[in-house]
Amino acid sequence: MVDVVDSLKLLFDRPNEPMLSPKGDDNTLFQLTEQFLNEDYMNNGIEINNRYGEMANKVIPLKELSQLPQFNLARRLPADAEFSTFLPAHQEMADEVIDELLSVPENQLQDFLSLCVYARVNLNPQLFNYCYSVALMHRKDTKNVPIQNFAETFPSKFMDSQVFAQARESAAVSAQGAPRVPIIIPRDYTATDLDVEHRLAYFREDIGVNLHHWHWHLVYPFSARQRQVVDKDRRGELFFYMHQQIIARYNGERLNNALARVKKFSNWDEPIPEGYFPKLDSLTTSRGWPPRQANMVWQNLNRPIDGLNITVADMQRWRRNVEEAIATGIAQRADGTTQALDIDTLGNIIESSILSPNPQLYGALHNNGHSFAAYMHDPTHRYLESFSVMADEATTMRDPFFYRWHAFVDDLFQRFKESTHVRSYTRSELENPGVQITSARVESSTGGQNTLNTFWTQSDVDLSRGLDFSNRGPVYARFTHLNHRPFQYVIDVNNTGNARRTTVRIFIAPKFDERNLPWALSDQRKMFIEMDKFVIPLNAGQNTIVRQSTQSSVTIPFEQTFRNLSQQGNDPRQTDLTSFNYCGCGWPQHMLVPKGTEAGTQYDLFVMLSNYDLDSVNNPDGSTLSCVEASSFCGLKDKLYPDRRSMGYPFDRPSSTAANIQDFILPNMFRQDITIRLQNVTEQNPKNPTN
Amino acid sequence: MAFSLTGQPAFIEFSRANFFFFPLQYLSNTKMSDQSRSNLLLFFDRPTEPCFMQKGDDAIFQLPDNFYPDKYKTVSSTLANRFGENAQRSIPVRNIALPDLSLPMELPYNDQFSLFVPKHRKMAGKLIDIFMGMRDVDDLQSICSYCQMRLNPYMFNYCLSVAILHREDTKGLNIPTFAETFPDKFMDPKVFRRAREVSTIVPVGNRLPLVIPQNYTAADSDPEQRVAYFREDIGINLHHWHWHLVYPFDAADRAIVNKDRRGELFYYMHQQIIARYSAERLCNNLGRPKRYNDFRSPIEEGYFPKLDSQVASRAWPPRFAGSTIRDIDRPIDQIRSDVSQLEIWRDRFLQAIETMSVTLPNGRQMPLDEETGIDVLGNLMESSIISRNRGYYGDLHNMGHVFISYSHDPDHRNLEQFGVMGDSATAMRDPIFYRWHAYIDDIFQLYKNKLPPYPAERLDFPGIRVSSIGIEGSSGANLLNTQWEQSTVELGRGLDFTPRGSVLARFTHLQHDEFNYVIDVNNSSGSDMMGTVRIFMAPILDEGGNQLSFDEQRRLMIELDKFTEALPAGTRTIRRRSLDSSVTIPYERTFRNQNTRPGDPGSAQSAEFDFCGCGWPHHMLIPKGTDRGYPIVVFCMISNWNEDRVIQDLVGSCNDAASYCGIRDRKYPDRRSMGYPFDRPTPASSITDFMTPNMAVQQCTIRFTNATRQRGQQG
Repeated sequence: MVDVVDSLKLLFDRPNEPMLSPKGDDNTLFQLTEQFLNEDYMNNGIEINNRYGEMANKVIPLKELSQLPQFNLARRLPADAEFSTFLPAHQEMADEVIDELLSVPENQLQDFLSLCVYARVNLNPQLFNYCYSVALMHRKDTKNVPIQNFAETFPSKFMDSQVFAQARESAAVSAQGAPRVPIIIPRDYTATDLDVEHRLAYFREDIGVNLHHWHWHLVYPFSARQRQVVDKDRRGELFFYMHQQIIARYNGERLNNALARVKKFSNWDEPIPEGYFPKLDSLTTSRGWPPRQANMVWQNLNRPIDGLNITVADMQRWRRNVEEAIATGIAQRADGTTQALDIDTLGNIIESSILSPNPQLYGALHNNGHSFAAYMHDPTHRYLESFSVMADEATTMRDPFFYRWHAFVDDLFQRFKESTHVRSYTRSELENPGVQITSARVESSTGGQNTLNTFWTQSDVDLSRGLDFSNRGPVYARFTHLNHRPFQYVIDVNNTGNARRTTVRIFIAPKFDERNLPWALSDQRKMFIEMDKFVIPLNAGQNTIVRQSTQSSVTIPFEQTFRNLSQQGNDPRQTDLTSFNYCGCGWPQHMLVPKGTEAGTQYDLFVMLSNYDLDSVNNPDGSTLSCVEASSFCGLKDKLYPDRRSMGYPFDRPSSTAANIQDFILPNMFRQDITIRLQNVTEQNPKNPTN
Repeated sequence: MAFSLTGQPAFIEFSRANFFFFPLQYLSNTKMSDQSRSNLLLFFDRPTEPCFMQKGDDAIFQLPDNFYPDKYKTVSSTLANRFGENAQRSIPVRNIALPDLSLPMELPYNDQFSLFVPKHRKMAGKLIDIFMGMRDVDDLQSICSYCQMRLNPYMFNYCLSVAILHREDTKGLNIPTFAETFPDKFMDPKVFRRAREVSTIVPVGNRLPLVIPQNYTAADSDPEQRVAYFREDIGINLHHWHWHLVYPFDAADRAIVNKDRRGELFYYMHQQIIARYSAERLCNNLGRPKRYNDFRSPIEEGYFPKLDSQVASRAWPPRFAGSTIRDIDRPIDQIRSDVSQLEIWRDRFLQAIETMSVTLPNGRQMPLDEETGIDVLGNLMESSIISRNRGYYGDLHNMGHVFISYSHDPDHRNLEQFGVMGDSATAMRDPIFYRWHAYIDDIFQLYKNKLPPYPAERLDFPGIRVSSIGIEGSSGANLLNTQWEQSTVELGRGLDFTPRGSVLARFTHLQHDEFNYVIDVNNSSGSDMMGTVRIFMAPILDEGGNQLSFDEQRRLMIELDKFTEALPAGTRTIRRRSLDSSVTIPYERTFRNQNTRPGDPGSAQSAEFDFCGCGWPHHMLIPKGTDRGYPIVVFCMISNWNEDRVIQDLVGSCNDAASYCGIRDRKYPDRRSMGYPFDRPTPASSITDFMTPNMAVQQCTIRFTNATRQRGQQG
């Protein structure tokens, strides 16, 4: 008998294969009955399933479903179509399925398993995978079912299409005894340096960055029939903040690569000079992802198949209404009443989620921007083309236009933050009486002080779970990604008051702008990237706080992006440690530190110890947290966001007094010059299976 | 042009070396057993699977240890044993000293390969040279087994095909159809995912053919989609690919290029494609193709091929509507050329036609005469290495393909490969192919228009009178029927790294009911004569529904058949089957007939069954017509065989599609200008005005029925 959790895990395996054949590395078979056959195998499915049963190591019997779900909407999506939550038609399908999966009573897991098998057999694999993941995440009884690393189940969304032909060869030949040599993915495969934007490819196309974005939207879907799935604490504000931080990080990387900050996409009639050729294939649709050539222009969309019929003029109207709300500080509700605008509401309006107070008036500015960008090549479905990478959460961050669009979105939020409706922080909101930082520094594991060292690492990912219809056994793909030497923050604090708690907030920002001039605080505040945030007790008197870079509240551990594939990593106790769901969401540890330059780039390290009385939230007992790794960007499951301050505090709004960062510093803050230096070498990840 | 000059000296040297040295050795080695010759065909099976894996149904190559690629070297004996266990037939491979392969090795294994790219031509030239230079079939097998695992599969296949077609000791060995080796160039990749599923999950006996979708590249809201069935037809694209295989424009061995009247055939075959495409468009309420004559203006038609390259593992790049060609600078392909260069070449052609003479490299003028002028122009235009002055007239036709196929990434900044226009197996899918060739054809017509009309004595055949031509079809006189038909193609050979076993796919194509031509002839000369019967067809009405002028109509004349016939004195009725057309190859050559193949699918026997791949696919002989019936005129002429004939021996060569393809190793079998009698302007104002007594016309109707039948259910 196979544990039901293990059975559920197997539903992630080889998502494009039918359920008739064995799943997982252990040759485990689901024993299907007539109920679980789709049209393709109506005649011979049972026979084939039985034949596999003779060879299977384990067999999972399925409980018959007393009532089969209709999936009236979801069935309309063909098995070989692309799926995107940005499309209204697809969103409705997903809502239907998620609702069905969530409505199985708690602790009836055999029913849930059968329902999921039925859904997997009958629905589009990507649609199923999304709904299944959301359901596992939001059901109480499936908390310990890990969401599989999406890059392993749908590897084609994350890596060069050329890998797959080689992977098939490797799987076929290795099955006969050849060594499993990793397939090397070149670092530069989407463009050359002739295209200046390509300098940022290591960031845009990073597997961990894209996984983060995908996972974030899995945790925060913007629609669902069960409102509590969407209505999480401060989700609108988190939408703003998480994306603001992405833009800040991206802009920092651009400066490191001698490029100016990204230009927001504000004039929607203007051609888009950035082209993008993703060179990804979809294993579900057997199509290449459509590229975008340079200088294409947004077109009115009329694609009945996607439920899209919107014009650029509609977008402009929504934009005017949003800008009106920002300028007046008042949001109009659908029922005609008004409410004062706050950042959380504005986030829900712009994204928009079903929490928007007036979707009719404010539209769905952010989501539709993705759709417009994704369909420039075929706005009326004349060429039967699917969307580009811009419309898929797992691929959209690859495209330079993602950042141009989110720079526009961020600018709307920033204009609200800069408006008279948001008050600047008073001194009492910033200070922490009695607490004085006497020094703060970073110490790199390689010995240097106030220097962070970055370098390139090659890590392996096992593709075999996503390689449908090929021989079993691991197939490794080897990526090159940015990495940094681990380091620690050391902060000396003098506490003249009583022992108390404090929140330590650590940010960094480049010291100079693209003209190599020092920043005005009004600009630099948008460049500060959060590195860590944690609560610690302060003793009276002198304190020295030491914090490891790997403990960051922004990131998830390295092993969650790149599973430990070495011998030790196969120890089951090890894998359990990293299997909690929320942990999948979070900025990848290897991208914590910006690239810097070989000559060394000057950064400001900013450390603040804020007044915990103003920070604390009343969360029920924190000890039940199964996973806290990346609360800054992802919040906490079923809990309040663990910091009462506005997200991004203290840099989320302009200062009424300080002109630059030096002016801003109070005794409970500290600024330190640091250098980020790139060592242009590539090292092997010690956890790779072979070297 | 820098590139066209750079490649040449090297080629000439290689070819000399071969040609002084090797013919003698061919003679001493022609007695190879058939088995070892046909083993070569195994290299066409599953092109990206290394050849130490099973090839064909039962065979395995036993490789010398040093032939294994580095990544498999350490386990070569394990692999040999494991794969050897399952094989029934083990083919020992001779360990030979390897020639220098560094040039062809420069093309990465996973790249696209195109003859339009000068650097690729150079690499292919070298590899063909190596294959041609192998002493005997065993050595060729050795070098192939070494190369198959290392060289770019497209290039390897092309070069091996050319070598097999042109080596003495491989004559009669027929290469398998390209669509089965590389099905990815011909059909929607969704089929392959399903084929993988079927071959993994479903036992061999239970497999149903997969259905290849039709109309998957655009919706009906794109007017161009109405002729997608023509552009994306597997047979038509195979024809074009095969034509360029038989007539490469570049090769180390000049004799491979310099075939009888190849320049003229280049003109004529493409002229006929345009005429046929125009007729299809008229049947579908579209105008004739608009010439692509302004290189500076955007190309309205977009094209999204939705093909995946199995070797490059990349989707073929689309061309968005409104793209403009741009100056190219792609060092990796050794192409640097400006759009203005195309215009300069074009102007030189116009000048040559204006003055009816071409400039030679030494500055002298060579007149373009009535008989060979078109051949000279064709070679200049294509251009092939037998162009009389490539330095001056450049490479207009090829570079047009190159410019269009790189319009999305002219400077290689996005590391993109060429679009479908860059590959002769896929170019005909793209609407722009026809606009480009309509323009090329127009330039040829400018030349033809300078020639004097045929005088009556060059048209007439005294004593011979054709009193009527008619169509005898299944549903009545002078009525042609068309409809959709589904045929099957075998995918098993092209599905690399999946379990063995046949996987059939079913695709839909146009088909017509077979019919007979009935021609009544009267020979009043009193003695037996020989005549050449020439049958053409053309639309009657233009896109506005008005009568076509004869000058327009003659350019739309589609050749249907041409054959030699004895004309005994007196009256005679000639009956000729549509199946015997000199233009087409039978269905079985385009898609091997699954029922009649000898031996099992994929076996060497079946691959060899009579295959001559070049020729218009028979199922596309007749334009689609319309539901209500599309009016056309069928024209028949019998010309004097004594003035047409070319004396040569045709035994043993495949000659049933000679009109568009010529005959292998022979002269073009008709002494007249290609397209005769419609290749020249005429003062005649209508077709009846044009006719001499040895001609007849009949108005006929093509009726299309929007239904699909399975192949074999003629009805």
